[in-house]
Amino acid sequence: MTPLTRRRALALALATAALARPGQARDVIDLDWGDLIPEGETAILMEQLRGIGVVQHGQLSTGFTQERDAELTTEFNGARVRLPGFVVPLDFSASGTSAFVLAPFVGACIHVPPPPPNQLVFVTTERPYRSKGLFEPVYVTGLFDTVATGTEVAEVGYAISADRVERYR
Amino acid sequence: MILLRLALRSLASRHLTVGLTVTSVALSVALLLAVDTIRTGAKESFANTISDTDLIMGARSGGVQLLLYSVFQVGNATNNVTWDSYREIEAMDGVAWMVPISLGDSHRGYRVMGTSTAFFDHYKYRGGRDIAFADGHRFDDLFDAVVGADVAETLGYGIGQEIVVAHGIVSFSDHADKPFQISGILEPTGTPVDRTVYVSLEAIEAIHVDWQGDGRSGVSAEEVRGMDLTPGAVTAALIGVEDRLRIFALQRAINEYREEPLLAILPGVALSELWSLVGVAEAALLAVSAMVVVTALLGLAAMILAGLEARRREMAILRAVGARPRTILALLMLEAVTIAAFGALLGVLLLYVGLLITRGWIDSATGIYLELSPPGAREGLILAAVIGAGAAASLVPALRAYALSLADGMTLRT
Repeated sequence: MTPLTRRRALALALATAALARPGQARDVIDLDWGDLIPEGETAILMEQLRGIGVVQHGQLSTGFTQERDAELTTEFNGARVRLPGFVVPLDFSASGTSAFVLAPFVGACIHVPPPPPNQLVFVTTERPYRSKGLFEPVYVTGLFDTVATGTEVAEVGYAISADRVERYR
Repeated sequence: MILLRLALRSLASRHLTVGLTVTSVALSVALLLAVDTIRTGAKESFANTISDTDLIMGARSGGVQLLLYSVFQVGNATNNVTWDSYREIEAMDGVAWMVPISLGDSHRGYRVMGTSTAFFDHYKYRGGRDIAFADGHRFDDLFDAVVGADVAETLGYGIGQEIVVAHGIVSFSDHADKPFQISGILEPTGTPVDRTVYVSLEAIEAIHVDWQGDGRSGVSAEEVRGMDLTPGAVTAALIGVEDRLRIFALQRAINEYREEPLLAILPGVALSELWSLVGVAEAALLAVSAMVVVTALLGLAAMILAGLEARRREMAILRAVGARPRTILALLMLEAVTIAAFGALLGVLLLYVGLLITRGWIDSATGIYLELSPPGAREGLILAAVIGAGAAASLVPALRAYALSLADGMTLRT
């Protein structure tokens, strides 16, 4: 065991300081929606996404078929991520929306069955985001986590506490 | 400094033309700012009208339409929701609370909404504010009514006042045999709540019992109290969910409801759809008022240009006392900027005076509540743009004057 020199103490203090602010020390991971599906689940997703987003002709009812038991990935928990998507506002005021669901395509959750939980992200943001409309894609940057809603299966699998919401370009 | 004094004196000596030009710039700036204020004011009014309601349910129509008639009192429902369905949905998983809305009657042009007292608990506006009572209390007797602030003020109502509800939105057939008594008056909210008369669902049912169409019914107000007043149908309902993350299942369940065609909407989504519709008209209005400003600034440039010919002698004298052509250029631009700046400031003044005078009327006539806030960054930016554009427009006459003073020198050839 090496003696605790002054320099070592300083280095240790610096390291703890860096650990205390994980958001700033770590880089932002650029995610895409495929990353949110754990390995081996991809085939199911493609089957599900077929016909989602629009009501098909000759289809009387879209039915209620959200795939509830889709697996969630915990790989990015606690990481700062950036994810593009479309906004489904849950709450709104004159200054914009501060709680919304981020979905991979326009119209998700509105007129058709929602995509599986691992394809929906609940976003909360301190600074309300003033959306230009439902068809405007955005980039959400923030702390990523899986949603834990007790024993029940969540409809929305992930959550991001966003520090930045900007227009996608 | 000398230059500024010179410019001001020169403008003062031509006060009539300058005055007219300043006025035209001022009017155009006021118009532009007014359009912008009303645009943002309308948006805020709409966005602030309802808050903390997760879903709105009604008969199947369009999302925007449902939002408009249930919350904003624009347009009408195409159909009702039966009370059985209402009860069944109220019992669904995930529903925390549900407030019924029954529309279709009016009182002297104000809509009458049949609802439950839960409305006063759950209806929130402007970021979660509760509606408060200025006077009195909620309806508890069958023929009690609660009125919004505008209704009470415009019609001069107080607690205990008897009012008669009419059938239809604007109508000559009254439910005169069953008058209501005002039990409460609400605080102003700046939302459609101010222009609504609230009664209980049972009261709506009661005034329509055995209703003949000529405004009379075979059942008297006293007899009706003993009857079963369970409503047959409601127009719409506001729904709060237990968990916002499980909102979609409930929405789907309502939209897929087998017994009758129903529609559930997320208010925020419907509002977004409405904005994208209104956005086009909004952009057109802004473009037109911006064009008016451009026209006024061109008028400003034309006025200075027209004055140049008459001022050639003045320029020659300035040159004679040592002004360089560059100074002449600066002088003319300074004049233009002064006019534009005065115009812009006068425009802001006009806007605020106009707002102060018409605000109340706009609120009661259109329901758009315009907040009177000090000019912000956006207004500052617009003013800076106007003054900058004025300077740019004045480059034409200023450069012309520069060239003339070079050519003329001190000897004026006429």
